[in-house]
Amino acid sequence: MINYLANPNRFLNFMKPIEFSIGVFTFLFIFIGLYLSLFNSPEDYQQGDTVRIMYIHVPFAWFASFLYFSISIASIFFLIWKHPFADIIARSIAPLGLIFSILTILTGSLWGKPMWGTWWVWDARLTSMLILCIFYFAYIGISNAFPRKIDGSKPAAILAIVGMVNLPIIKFSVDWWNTLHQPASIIRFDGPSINQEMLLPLVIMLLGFLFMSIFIILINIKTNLIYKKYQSEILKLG
Amino acid sequence: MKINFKNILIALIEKEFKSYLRSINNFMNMIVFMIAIIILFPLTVGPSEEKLTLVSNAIVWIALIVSIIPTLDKIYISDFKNGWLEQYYYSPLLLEIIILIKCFVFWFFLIIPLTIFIPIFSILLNIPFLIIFWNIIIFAIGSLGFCLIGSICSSLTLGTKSNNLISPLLILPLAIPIFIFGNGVVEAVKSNYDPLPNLYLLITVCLILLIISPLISAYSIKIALTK
Repeated sequence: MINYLANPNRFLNFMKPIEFSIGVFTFLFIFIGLYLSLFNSPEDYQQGDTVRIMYIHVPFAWFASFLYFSISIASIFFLIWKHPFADIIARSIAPLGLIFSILTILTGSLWGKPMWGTWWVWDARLTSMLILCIFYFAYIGISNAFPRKIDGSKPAAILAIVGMVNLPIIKFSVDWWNTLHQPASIIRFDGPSINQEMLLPLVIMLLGFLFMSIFIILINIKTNLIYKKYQSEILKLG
Repeated sequence: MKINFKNILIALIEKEFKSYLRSINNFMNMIVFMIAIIILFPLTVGPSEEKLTLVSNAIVWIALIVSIIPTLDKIYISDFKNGWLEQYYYSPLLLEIIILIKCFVFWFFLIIPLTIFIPIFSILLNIPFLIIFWNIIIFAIGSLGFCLIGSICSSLTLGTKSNNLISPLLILPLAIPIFIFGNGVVEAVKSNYDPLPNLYLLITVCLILLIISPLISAYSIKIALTK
C-alpha cells in the first residue's frame, strides 16, 4: 500500500476522489463542533464562558505536536529509504504545524489572561511549546536556506529528528514539574477526567482539525509537486 | 601500511591550535563584545545595588553566551571552504573522532580562556565568591556541551547562503537544558541547598551530547560533502 502510494502521480490519482469529501468533512465537523462548543456545552463552574477557548486551544496544541511527530516520521523515512516524496510530505506539513503552534500560544495566552492573570508565564508547558514553535521556524529556515532547495532537505530532516526530543517533554511537562497549566485530562491511564458533555464537542473539533490538516497538507503537497516539476522543466530547458 | 594514530592526533591538535592562534581576532571580538554587554547592563538597569544583585549572575551568563554564539557556528566553515573537511573525510581516522577532537580543541583554546573573565566581571557586579567559584565550574562543564551543540548546528548549516540567521534558532532550543540545570546549581547555592543534583544533571546532559553530537555532525558533514 505504502509502496503503491509512494509514487506522486499515483498518490494524486488516489487522493483526487477522496479530496473533495475530506473538504466536506472538514467544514461539517468544524461547524458542528463550533456550534456545540459555543452554544450547546456547559459552562465551567470556575471559568464560566472562557472555558470555550479550550475547544480550539486543545486541537491546535495536539495537532501542533502531532504534525511535528509526522514530520519526524517522514524525515526518518526520507533518510533511510531516500525517497524524495517523503521529503515533499515533510516540507508540506511544516508551515501548517508552525501556524498551529503559533495559534496554540496565542489562544493559550488569551485564555491565560482572564484565568491566571497573565498573558505568559515561563512555565514548563508553555516554554516547551515555544521551543516547538522555534523548532518549526528552524526547520522551515534550514530547509530553504540553501541555494538549491533540494540540498536543504537532509539537514532539515536531521533537525526534525533531533527536535523530536522536545515532544515527550511537552507531553509530560505537566506531570514532571509543578506548573500553572492544568494536568492532562483526556489521555490518562484511568480514562478521561473531563465532563462527558464537554468531551463530545472537543472530540468533534479534534476530528474536524484532523480532516482540515489532511486537506491543507494535500494542497501543499500538490503545490510542492508542481513546483518540483516546474524546476525539472527549467533544468531540461537548460 | 601501518598508521601512527598518535602522530595524526598530535598533528591535528597542532593544526587546530595554530588556526585559532592565527585568527586571534575572533577571540578579541568575543572579549570586546562581552565587555560591552557588561558595561551596558548596569547603565540600562540602573546602578542601584538591590536591582543589580538580582540580575548580576544572569548578566555574566548572557555576556558569555551571546559572545560565544557568533563564533560557535563557524567551527567548520573555514575548513569546509579550504577543503580540509574532505581530507578529514578520507583520512584513516574516523570523522567522528576528528570532530570530537575539533570540539575539544575549540573548547580548550577558545572557551576555557574566557573563564578568566568570570571573576573579573563578577567582582565588578558584586557577586559573592562562593557563587563565582560555582559559576566557573558550571561554565567549564556547560560550555563543552555548548560547543557540541554548536558542532551540530554549524555542520547542519554548511553551504547555506547565510547561516547567521538560522544558527541562533538552532542553538538556543537545544541548549536550554544546559541553562536550566546551570541556573539550578546557582539557585541552590544561593539558597543554601545541595547544588550537586543539578550539577550531576548538567554533566549528564553534556555526556549525552558527547555521544550524540559527533555522530550527527559527522553524518551531516558527509551530506554537505556529497552535495
